[in-house]
Amino acid sequence: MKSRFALVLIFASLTFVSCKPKHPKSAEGDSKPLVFARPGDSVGLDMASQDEGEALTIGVNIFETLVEFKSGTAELEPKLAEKWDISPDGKTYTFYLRKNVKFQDGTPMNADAVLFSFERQWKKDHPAYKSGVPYKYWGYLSMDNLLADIKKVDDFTVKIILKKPNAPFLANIAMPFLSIVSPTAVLKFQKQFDQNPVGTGPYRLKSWKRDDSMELEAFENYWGDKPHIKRVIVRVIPDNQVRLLELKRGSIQIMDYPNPSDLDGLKGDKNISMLTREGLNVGYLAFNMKKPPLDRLEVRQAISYAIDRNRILKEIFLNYGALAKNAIPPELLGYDSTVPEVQYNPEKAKALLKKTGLQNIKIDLWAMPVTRPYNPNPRKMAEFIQSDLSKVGIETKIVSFDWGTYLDKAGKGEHEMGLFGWQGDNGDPDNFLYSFYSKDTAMVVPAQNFSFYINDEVTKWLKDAQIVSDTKKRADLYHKVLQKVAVDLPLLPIAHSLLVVLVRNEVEGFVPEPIGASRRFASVRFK
Amino acid sequence: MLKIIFENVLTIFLAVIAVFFLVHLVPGDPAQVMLGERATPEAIESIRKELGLDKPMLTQLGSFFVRLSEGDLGRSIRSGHRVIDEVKTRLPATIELSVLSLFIALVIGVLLGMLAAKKPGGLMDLFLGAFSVLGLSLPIFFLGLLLALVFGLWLDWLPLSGRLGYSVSYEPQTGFVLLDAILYGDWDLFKSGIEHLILPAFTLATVPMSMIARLTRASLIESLRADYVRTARAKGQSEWKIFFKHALRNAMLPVITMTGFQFGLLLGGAILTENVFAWPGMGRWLVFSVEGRDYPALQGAILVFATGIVIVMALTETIHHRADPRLKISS
Repeated sequence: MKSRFALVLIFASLTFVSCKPKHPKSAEGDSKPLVFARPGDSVGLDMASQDEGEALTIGVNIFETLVEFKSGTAELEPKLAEKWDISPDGKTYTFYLRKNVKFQDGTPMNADAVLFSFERQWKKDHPAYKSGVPYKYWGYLSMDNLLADIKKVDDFTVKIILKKPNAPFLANIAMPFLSIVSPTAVLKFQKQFDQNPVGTGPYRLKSWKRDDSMELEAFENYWGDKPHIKRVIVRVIPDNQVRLLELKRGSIQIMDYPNPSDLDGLKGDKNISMLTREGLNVGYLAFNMKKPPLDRLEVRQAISYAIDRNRILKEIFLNYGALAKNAIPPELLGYDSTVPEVQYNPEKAKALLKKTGLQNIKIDLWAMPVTRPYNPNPRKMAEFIQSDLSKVGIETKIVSFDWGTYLDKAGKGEHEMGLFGWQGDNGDPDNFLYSFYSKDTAMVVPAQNFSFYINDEVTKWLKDAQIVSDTKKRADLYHKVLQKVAVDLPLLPIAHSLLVVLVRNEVEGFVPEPIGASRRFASVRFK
Repeated sequence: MLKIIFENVLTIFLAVIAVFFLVHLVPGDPAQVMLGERATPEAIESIRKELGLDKPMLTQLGSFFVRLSEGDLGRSIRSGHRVIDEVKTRLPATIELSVLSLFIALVIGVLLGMLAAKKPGGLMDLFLGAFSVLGLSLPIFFLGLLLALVFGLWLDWLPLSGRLGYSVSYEPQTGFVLLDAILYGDWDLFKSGIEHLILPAFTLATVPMSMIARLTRASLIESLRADYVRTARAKGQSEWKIFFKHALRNAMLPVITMTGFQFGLLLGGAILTENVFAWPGMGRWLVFSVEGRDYPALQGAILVFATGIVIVMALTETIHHRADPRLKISS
């Protein structure tokens, strides 16, 4: 009887709701929330243990670092550290902390909290080590090999001593994994800290419905400029088109990652603005130099001349990107605009191939199975390359595996020629070039130097650039590297993709960030 | 009865073992996937160790079953959270969606089938033919998008995506929004829940609805021609009674069986539907788990799905037995 009653109830309400002409808009009153939508949820919000973009997107609103990337740029500016000194030998950094900064749980931010945030990831016997292990970025950046000591000088002064000078160090500590966390909260929540994050940022996490939405609330005791909007709802809407429909309808104000093919249709829309920013990324084609015939320079040159990169930019990036000249984006230190650029020239490619005397060249071309920030459609890109190469007499077979397998096999050097790329973490050239071109990253499994390019001179320049702190000297070293690899061609840079964020015109003040996936809400306001 | 339970438990057990070996046989290492382009040998090694992936496969399987016997499904590799908690937060959403879809499919499907069977070749029959071909052939994501566009954006009748509006507050008790809303007596919550549920549930219902409608029609036409119907007519029973009591009841038997089978398919369709409507259920989590080689999460999810399907099949069988007294006698 009860079940029948429930059925009737459900049926009645279905009928009632579907007959209603309009669903009521929620009563929003004064504190109208900002609604931001993205394709996926964060896995966790402990910046020390997370490395995926969706964690960083939100994390930068809750946490702050000693040094931070200036809004909209890859430049560094003071944040929780008001200023810092670097010793003449480049090994000791002294940070002077901002006073009167509180964590969102009311505890004070001081030297102890800074030490805690570093040591928790560093020392296995630390009481909070288990709270976030594995600490991914700490591992990626080999922080163990870099840090010698960290000391509290007084309540608001911290000294960090390095084993050797390291030029990218400041950029590294500006990354969210070294956010300063509330020791009280970490010790209280332990493993659950990633669902109960407590930092010093302008917003605090109020509630979180998994795979659905998060609510951020302005932190009333924030030390800096208070956020304009008190409440931010972060929604997860996986389908790019549905997310766009929600934006058009006005139920969300800012959306991430639109389909490039939908953007042209928005140009006449008066309610929606398109914000773009050059992404700190590069997509490239790596030639595995261990595999003949790719060990021959003429073959690599011929392939590079045969590929019409402009067509790729137009058809695959739909012009939301820029042709890559170097394997680093133009905003970065050391970018060299004078390197000889490979122009599309199939005739020259044919001539080069003729010179090698090779015939019936067959090469496997690997295409990753997933869309990456630096490659919106790898499969289609591979098909374009295949058709270009067939015009000069090179036969290619497109090979693809699922993402895990692809990385696994490529890391072991099983590919011949393959599509790869990189999304920068911290705006430092070392973050790109050392992985791509150094001998060290080619000699290990998994390799990150997917071309298996081994050149002692280039490796030395790259290593020197890691320790030289003089910006000019560093830039010169990177120029040398880029000039040399432009001749040796271990890889062909293809394009830097553009980051596009769609914003409804009722809000202003949103600035797309080039670094990682951070989206900052504190500067956004309703018009 | 014991035999049935034993058989079902064995089915689930075998499914779990099969899945364990399947996911481990696929190349690609979870540590590698986690680290992506940034993988260094040291990082991979330390993560493998951390997750216990460096142990032999049989040891891993053994410890999985030991933990399972203690009611623990292990921890997700991706998130580090307990798999059981991950499932708990997502499963109710998927069940709510699937059950309502099945309900819609059954009610509308049977109704359409009946109307069509009443006059084969008539207008209603033609309509059903067209409707079921469309229902079976339109890809779910396309239909979902179309419905979202029409009812969400153009007509502005229903929300486009999500499970609840952000203006209603909700503290999950059972995790089933509608049930909780009834328990709390919270009308706003109920309204927001049902508004959000209509489009995804209808989208998901189209395929089973079409199949149920076709089967009902075919089976009903056959029943209406059967000897017992002729006998009933000869006895002078009313058409109404003949239709419902004799023909429909018999025609429903294959429909009940098929509806049980549909449940498994429905869970598959739920993955696509959840994606389109941003429905926070198991489907998307499962896809991420496959991509990330999240063994514990996958094993947990498959265990839950297998159990669900086994339960539904057992239920179907029970209902079938009740509806068909002949089966009762023979068993």
